[in-house]
Amino acid sequence: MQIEEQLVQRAINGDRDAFTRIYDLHFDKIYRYIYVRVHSQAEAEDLTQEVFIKAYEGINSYKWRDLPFTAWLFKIAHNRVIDYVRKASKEKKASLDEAGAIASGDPVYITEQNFEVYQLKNALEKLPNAQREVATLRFISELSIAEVAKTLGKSEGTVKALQFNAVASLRKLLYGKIDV
Amino acid sequence: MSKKIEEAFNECFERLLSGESLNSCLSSYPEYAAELDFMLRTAFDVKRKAFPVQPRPEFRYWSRIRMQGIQDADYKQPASSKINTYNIRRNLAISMAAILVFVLASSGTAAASSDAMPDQPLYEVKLAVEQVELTLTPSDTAKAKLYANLAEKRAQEIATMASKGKTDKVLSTTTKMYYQLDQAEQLLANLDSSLNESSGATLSVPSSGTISLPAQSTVSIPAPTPAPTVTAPAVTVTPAPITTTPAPSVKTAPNLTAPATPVTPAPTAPATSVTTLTTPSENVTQYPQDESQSDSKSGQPSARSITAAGKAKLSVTASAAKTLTILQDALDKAPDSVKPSLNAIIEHTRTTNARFNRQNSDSDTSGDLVTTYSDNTTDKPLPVKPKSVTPQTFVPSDNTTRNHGNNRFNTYNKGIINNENADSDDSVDNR
Repeated sequence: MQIEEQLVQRAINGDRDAFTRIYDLHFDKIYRYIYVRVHSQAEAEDLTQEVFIKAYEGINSYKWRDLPFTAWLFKIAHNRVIDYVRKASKEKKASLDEAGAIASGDPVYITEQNFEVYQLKNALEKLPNAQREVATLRFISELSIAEVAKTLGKSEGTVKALQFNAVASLRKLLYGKIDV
Repeated sequence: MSKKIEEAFNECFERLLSGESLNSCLSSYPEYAAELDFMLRTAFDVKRKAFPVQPRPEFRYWSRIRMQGIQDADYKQPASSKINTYNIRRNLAISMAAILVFVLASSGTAAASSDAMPDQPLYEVKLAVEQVELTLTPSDTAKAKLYANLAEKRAQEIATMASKGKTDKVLSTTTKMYYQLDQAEQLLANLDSSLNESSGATLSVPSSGTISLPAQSTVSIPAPTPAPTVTAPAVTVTPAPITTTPAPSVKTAPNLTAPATPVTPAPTAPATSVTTLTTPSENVTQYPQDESQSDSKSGQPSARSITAAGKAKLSVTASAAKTLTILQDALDKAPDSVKPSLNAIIEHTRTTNARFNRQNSDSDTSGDLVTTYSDNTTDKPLPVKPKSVTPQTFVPSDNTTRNHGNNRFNTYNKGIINNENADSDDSVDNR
């Protein structure tokens, strides 16, 4: 955390290498977060690029004490996704993915992995908004509870409860009824 | 008063992420154990399902360059400048210059990233560089070797991450290593198929298996160079002499003198029975740069190409063996929390190695239908056993095909969980 804070401070001061390192640190996580929320690989790529451009443009006004940097970055991504979903629902885009998550390699491997990703996206789409947000940020983008709470502007207790409910719902959606 | 189940779940999830075993977590919350068990498995399964979602390496690479270009342009452009044609042209020039500068500078970054580990920021650059290297490698033989070398690198990284006790990095790197070993294996298998296909020893259709040619029947392919003659049951493969006569570009299906038994094309791929019999010139058209596929003039597998394939196999097998050794050595230095995972990885890699060795011995063992090609560049001739051409159709997953897919990961996960159980049982005994 301290290293990231230093990097961010250097980036704010105009150190371009520092921003590039921040970019490398978060690129995959941001992409994954967006990919499971949008309809295609191309849209995920466009939005990911937009998030980092916005972050670069806004980093001068960023203050660590208000929000951890990861939470700030994911907040940008979250807002971009919300805009996208709103726009997509107006345009009535085809649901889910038309391109696979993985595009090269062994065909059997690709098919199986893409099917699993499809199943997961499908299940996430059926969750209530708040649960979906928490599950995506927590399990797919691997944010901590505190970071998720800051990103979504909720308390940690609420996030924990939403996380638990999201997993219970995903279990039902992915594997059927739980027999405990 | 016991914690709420939401709290317990979150705590266990964090503990598992840091390398603790499932059983040890569950034992802290016996009242919720059954439910937590299901829930934690689901949470990790969601993580696993999402893991393959990665940005395309090309996108990652170019996006980074674009970002760097924006930064450089922004750095040089005064805030008050207005957008006009001059500015657009100037910005374009700056961006181009920035890209050029970045490409030149990134060679330094790329070099610096070569030793990066999965927990370091430059690791992504290292992966992107590898991807570019793979893209620029034209021949399948070289690609197979490169994949095996990359798997070896991954093993080194797994060893380092294991020694630091970073289970999550061990697992994510393992997925990459499995994929690279898979690719090397697949490319070698394709190489075998291509060589045997070129030698024309056996014809096969995807659904009905091998076409048995009646005795005395001959499949002749119109070509200016000596055509491969196939007779059954005693199949004789006549290697074409290397000739300087260029093969014409044959685009039409080869003219088969009909075998006595009529062949019904498979319903799923009706044309495959013809297309599996590739003409020499097709090979030249498809793989002009791949020395292992066929001789560029005659279309037959040349002595040189067969040796190249053999060398590639030996090289890949050696790399795979080294990969296993690295992992085995890592086991001694790894903390106890990582050992169950490492054991499962070693077991899996051992199975893959066994397949490589089997693949090698399949090629090396002299069978009934062995043709030996000598090579001037090596002392030993490389025997090649013609095999039936593996059809490249998409079949529902069976036990064999699932080996390449997620089942492998599931088995591997199961292995980890079983090992965790075993580990945890041990710890209970010790107590």
